[in-house]
Amino acid sequence: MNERWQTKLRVIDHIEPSQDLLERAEAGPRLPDPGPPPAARVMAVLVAAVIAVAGGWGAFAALRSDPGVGREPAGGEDAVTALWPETLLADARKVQEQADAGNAAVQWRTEAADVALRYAQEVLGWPDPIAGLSITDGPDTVSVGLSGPIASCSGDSCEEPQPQQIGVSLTLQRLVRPGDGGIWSVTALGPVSEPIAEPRPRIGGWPEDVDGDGLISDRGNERIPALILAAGDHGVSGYVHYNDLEGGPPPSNPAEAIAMSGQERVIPVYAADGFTVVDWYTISSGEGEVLAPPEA
Amino acid sequence: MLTAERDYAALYRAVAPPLWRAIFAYTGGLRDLADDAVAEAFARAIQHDGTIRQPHSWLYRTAFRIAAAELRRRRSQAEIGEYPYEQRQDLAEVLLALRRLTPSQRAAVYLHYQVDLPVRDVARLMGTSVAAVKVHLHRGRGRLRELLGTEETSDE
Repeated sequence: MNERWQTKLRVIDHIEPSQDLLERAEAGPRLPDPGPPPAARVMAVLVAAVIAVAGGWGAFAALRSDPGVGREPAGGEDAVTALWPETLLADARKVQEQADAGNAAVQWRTEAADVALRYAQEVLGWPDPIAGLSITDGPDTVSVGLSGPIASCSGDSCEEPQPQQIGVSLTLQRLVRPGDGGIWSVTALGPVSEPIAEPRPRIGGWPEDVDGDGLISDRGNERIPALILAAGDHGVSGYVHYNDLEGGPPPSNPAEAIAMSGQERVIPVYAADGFTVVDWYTISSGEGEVLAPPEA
Repeated sequence: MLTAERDYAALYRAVAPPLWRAIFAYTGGLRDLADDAVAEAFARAIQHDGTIRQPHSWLYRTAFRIAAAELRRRRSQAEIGEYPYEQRQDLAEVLLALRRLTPSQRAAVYLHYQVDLPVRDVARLMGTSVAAVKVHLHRGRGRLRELLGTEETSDE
């Protein structure tokens, strides 16, 4: 049984695309491609790359705590306001003018996810990054979680990610003009999950019900959380997927799931986006400190 | 050895129909825009032949980005187009309801409830987060319940 609105949506499945789409595709792109960055942006990329590679997390923490970064600068147009693509407000204003004039080459700057993905490709060197988007502080400041190519899992297996491919989070802000049409700039960079000082891996507890409907599972008709809080083998906090934890007949809670596994298994620990792999969790019967979930 | 054309023809047959319908839903029923976005995504995939590791996901994300840019550029919603008589009334009702949702809500609802993709896959294809998709689904589902009804119907 479906609700009526679901049944009605099926009408879309009877609509067919035009017959010539593949021929049009084979004739080549028709819409403008953003193209390579201008020389000034390349320089900004190099500056940001040097900061990213050589600075380490300490440098990023310093940047995050610097009250001048990411805000309207007191020092005028020459003040450093962002990490990437432009570092100076005056340069960002020029790009905003191009975007307002309809320049297709800079339209990607008006989408926070596009800016984050470009950053991952051009600065971090990830060929096929994944971006997760979450609003953190009003409409003009966004935190985007990024993961590298190996962080994505397929089927039942995930490859061990290299340290540089574990997820990072970017803070992006509309520095020149708020609201739709304002260009986004990267103003801070940090790890997705901070290591926590737990001597042993822990698992258990329910994650936040982000949409407030009392359901956390993918399917919407179960009350089993899809993501379960956990601390990975290396002490990084995150979430394990219920299906990964399950590994056999459905358990009723994380403790039962571990007890039922019977043999050692290694499953990924994800960031809050449920996709970015931040650590690994080794499950073996009788091991691991299990925390009871809070009362609903 | 397969030619690039044969590879992309097979990829097109497998990916294009559901992708096109997802973009069709995303745009609120603008079929010419859906045509443009899907054709352009495949054109860029062919152009970057050999450098795309996961063409299925790449095509979805690219097509959604193109469609989003085109939607912003057009800033208007076209009339319901020409469709067979037996589809017209049902489609008009659904499209008018979908246009009361945001584009992301439309796409998330279509991919999750019609294509039957898990939330994580919807997030991957739309290039957004699981949390964001769940919010889109929650709000879009509520809106469609108001507009199209909640009575249960038998599966066909």
